Amino acid sequence: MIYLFGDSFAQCTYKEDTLLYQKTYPAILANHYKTKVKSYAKGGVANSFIFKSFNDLFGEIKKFNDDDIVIINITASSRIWFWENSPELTDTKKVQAAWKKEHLKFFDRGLNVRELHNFYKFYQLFMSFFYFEERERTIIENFILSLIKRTDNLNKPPIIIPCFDDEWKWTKKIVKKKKLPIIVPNLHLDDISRNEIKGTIPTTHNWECRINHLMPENHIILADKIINADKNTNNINFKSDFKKDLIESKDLETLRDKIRDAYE
Amino acid sequence: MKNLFIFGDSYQADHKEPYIYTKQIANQLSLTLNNFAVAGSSLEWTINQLLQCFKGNKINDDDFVIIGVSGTSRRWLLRHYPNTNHLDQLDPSDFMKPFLPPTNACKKFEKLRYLPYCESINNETLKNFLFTLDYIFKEFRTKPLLMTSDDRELKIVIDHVKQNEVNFVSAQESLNPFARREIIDMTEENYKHFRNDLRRNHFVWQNHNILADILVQSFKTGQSFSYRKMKTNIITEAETHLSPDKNGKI
Repeated sequence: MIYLFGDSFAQCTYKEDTLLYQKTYPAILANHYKTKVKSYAKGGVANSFIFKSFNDLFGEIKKFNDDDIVIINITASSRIWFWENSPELTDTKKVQAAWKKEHLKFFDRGLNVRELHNFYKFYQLFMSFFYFEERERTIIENFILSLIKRTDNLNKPPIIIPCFDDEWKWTKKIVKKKKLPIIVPNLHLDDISRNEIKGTIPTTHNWECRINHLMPENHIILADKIINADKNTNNINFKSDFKKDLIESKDLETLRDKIRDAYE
Repeated sequence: MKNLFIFGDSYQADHKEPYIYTKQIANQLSLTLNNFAVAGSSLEWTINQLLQCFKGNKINDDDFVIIGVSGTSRRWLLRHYPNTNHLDQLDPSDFMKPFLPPTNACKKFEKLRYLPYCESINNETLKNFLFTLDYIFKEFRTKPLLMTSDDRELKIVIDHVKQNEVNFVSAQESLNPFARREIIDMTEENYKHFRNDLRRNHFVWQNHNILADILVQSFKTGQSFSYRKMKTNIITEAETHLSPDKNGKI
């Protein structure tokens, strides 16, 4: 079994029998290893959601099978899991987007205007006065160290693919310093995703057409890199091979069909 | 000389008096005391301090370690002030005021931070921490001791110990009830709002002696420990607000 934990970079959006799904790196991995994918990833979530979904499955007693593949995305530590049933609303941008586009869905889950407003205020206060790296790094390091015992029976060490710069640096540093049996790439996923875009990258896009923020060409390369991850050096080389300038920035949100065609 | 490392909150924090149980343990076992515990601090701070020592290779596998697990509702809110987990409890004349965000921001933040679900997800940090302890201390000759402040966190620890092979030793009870039972006629409800406790580590000197013996014994045997031998009903509430002398007498 291939287990995926993380945010939008790991979530499996489409059903297994669709062509779109078959072009994604989880499906390519599943075909290669002749196994199934179980993804507990969800777009927009915070690390606390990712750690909880891991703990719910592998917190006690139950262990992985030795031939399982475990891939964990670590996301931006500035995201806060605020409501149990809406883990994807983790910062003010996402709340704004929810408010504009899909607020009915969130109201159905029991959220109301006041709660959205409270979160907005809370998040602004948190980021202005109470956010600092050292605490967030500690929480991530704590999770990374906690993985060792829980994954010690795997043939291939767990793979942690941080999505953003800070979290990637923190992960890489502790894995290297303490020589932990964890595979980490030498670049984070957001870099690869951004390099695909030609032109100025929009700062406020709420929705994009790429699956896992990657074009199909790079899904194949990513899957290949995971398959060939060197467990002796604990390294995946993300610095070469990935294709750049694959999509115009203006097409990210508007040309949904065009991008869908690219996958199909 | 081997070391005794202490991490945690007010139950483990250092004080100058010689009767403090952590000092007694260091003396009894001829250890050099390194106390990183800070009163009022959160689990996040405790983990940070432990990981700093671990990453800096300051702890060796023949050292002794005591770890206090504080309530998971506490957060490490200000980087340089790990004792500040409740902003609304600060006195207006507090020396830290100049270093804090504006009072209005603090008040709003305090009001809002208990609304969200994020309070309970700190439990996941504790669950991860228990596995982290297993990794850090796997080669240690003497199993570290885990002291939990509150029943909620104790349940998580006990469940973990039942279901996993662990490299640490846990207390069978949490500390709060025993600190409360020292005070004559103190109810559980009143203890929640109890402030200005000047007992060192929330215990009178007699119980420091007993606690030191309990923990030394557990270090030697590697068996879980209980606080049941500690004395109850030995101090009035008024006496807890008075500073004890160097021998613990009021």
